[in-house]
Amino acid sequence: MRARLKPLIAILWPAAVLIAYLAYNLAYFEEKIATFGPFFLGLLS
Amino acid sequence: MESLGFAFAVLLVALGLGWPVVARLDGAGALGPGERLLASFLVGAFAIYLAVFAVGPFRLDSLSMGALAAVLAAVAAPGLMRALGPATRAALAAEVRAARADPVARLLWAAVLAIGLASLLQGLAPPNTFDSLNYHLPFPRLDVEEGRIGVPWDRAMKYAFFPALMGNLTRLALVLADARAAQVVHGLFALAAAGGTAALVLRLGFARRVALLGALLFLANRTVVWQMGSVEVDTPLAAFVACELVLYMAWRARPDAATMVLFGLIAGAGAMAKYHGYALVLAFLPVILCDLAKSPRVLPQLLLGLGAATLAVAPHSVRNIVLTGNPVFPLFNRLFNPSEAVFFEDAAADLGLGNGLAALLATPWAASVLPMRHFDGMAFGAPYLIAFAPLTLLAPSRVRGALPLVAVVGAYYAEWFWLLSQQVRFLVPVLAPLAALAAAGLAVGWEALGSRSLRLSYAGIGLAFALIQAMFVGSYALLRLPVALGLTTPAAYHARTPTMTGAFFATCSYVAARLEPGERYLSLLIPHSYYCPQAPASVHYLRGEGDWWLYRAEPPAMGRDEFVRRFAEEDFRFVIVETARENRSNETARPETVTVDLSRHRLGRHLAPALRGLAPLAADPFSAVYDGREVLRRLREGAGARPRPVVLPRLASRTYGPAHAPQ
Repeated sequence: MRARLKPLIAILWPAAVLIAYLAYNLAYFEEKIATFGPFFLGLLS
Repeated sequence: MESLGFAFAVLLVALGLGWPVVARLDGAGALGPGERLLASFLVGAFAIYLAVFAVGPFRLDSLSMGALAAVLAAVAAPGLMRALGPATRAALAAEVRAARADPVARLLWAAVLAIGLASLLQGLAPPNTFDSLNYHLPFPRLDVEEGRIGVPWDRAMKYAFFPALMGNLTRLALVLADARAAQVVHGLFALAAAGGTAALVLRLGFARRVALLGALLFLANRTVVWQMGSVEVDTPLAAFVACELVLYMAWRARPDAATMVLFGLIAGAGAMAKYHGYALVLAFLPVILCDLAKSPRVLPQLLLGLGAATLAVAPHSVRNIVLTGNPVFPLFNRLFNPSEAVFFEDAAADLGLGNGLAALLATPWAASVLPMRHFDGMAFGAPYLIAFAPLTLLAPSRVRGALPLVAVVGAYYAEWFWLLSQQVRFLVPVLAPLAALAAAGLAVGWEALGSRSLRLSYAGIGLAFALIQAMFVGSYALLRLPVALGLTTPAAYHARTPTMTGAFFATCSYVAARLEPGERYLSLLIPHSYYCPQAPASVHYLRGEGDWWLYRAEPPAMGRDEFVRRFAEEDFRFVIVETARENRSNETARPETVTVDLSRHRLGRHLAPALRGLAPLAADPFSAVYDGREVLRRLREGAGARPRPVVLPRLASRTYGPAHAPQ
């Protein structure tokens, strides 16, 4: 593999995975925060 | 403290029992001190399983198990002294020195210890995972109540024939301590697996800090954290697989018959933790055949390893053959009992993208990045494994020794994809090599970046993954630690903690507190929770209905008159039924409550009219307890009523639904 490509892949691949994961699961995290947020706040209070 | 004390004692006894075996088989010194401890713990745990297996069918009570524990402790004492001897202490001192000299290693140690300890302590919370409540704990509790290990034919649950390495540790814990002790013992296996992950990274030739990173990536996995506070068995199997890989790599570096025997022993013991261990043994076949082709003279050593594995699985297999005619019952029953019932044959089709080549290639991405869409929930949490493990390809020379890891993971993945239910948690057994490869990939990626700005970006991406994963890890800690540390009561914990169907804690506790010796009750709960008394219960089927489920898919018919007569004969004090369940099998894991229609149940259809309008003695959002005598009176009053015929549900397949794993 060309040396110039390696740094690009090392950055772009994990970034792509991260962005795709967040994009696909935004609704999941919103739901979790809505469900568990008050629950955890209740624990702390 | 009693639970922690029991778990600590199991750790020490297992180390002491296993060390002499491992030291003898590793006479050539192929293993490092940490690797020896890992193998010793697993061999010792297997020895404890065998001891309970031998004694339990005759007597399972505090006297027999107490005596057994005393004998095991006495036998283990010399081995333990050697296990904690100069070599181990020197290795520990070297580790401390290295951490003192390296701030990054110190930070990683702190993270590993924080997550490991927090997850281990979560075992002190009352059990509340589905399979734990369904069979991992109820069968051992049933045996304890019966005073011996038996066969619960009337439960019609095939799980009773699953390998019992972890189940027997649970039985010991229930007799000598409690269920929480069993959970902490299971958590120890996760720590062992994390140690195995670190050992794999070191064997790949990476630095100590990368090894710590591998252990951290293993421990932070969402299913691992979830299972560490339970008696689920995927994570314990991961410890065996990590050890198998360590031993295979050691053997590969210096082929030696004794190391191969130890490998076989651990592989067989792993299959006794969970049947998937057999699939793992099979997953070693490609790399073994490859090595055999290169060096045919190792064949006798491999046969010795196979012999050791066969011996390890023999007791369980022989028991199953005697009871069912099938050594791996309920698997492959069509092969062993062609005219009888088959199980799990539809398991492979319930999840995933399909079974074609495109799906095979796309599934790692889909299971990691959009797990809510096609799989059993957010099992792994943030997809750091798929983000970093492939980066090892940037420097193939750095991971030349990784062939066994890649081959075993690849072969097991193919088995999981084509033969097993595609529940993501079933990939946990190969999580140690995956985490090792991800840690290696993280290091390779870092080394590939020359400039400071690129490294800052890379660190930022890593930090984002860490923050997301910290949310999952922290959630479980916030849920379980307060009750684990006694800051809240089990009742409050169960009432407030989101779980799949509820643990039926309140209603089962009601029954447990009021049922007198000799009284019985009828349960239509799914699961018939661990918190309910086990032996006095008729669960979905009545006493004496026996082993019909071995031979056919549908239970024998029971008409209303027959049911009322049997109900009266049993003189049930209580009837406990499921009233609702929670379904989170949707893309956001939003809980949806579904009312249970009792009239669809084989016995419930007779009960439903009698329960209509009857006030329960106790109820929670998912279950209710009724007075058995009052129910009988109402049943007799409506003796002429004939319900219309209904299609019966397949109760036995319930735990393999997609809502099983953490959502």
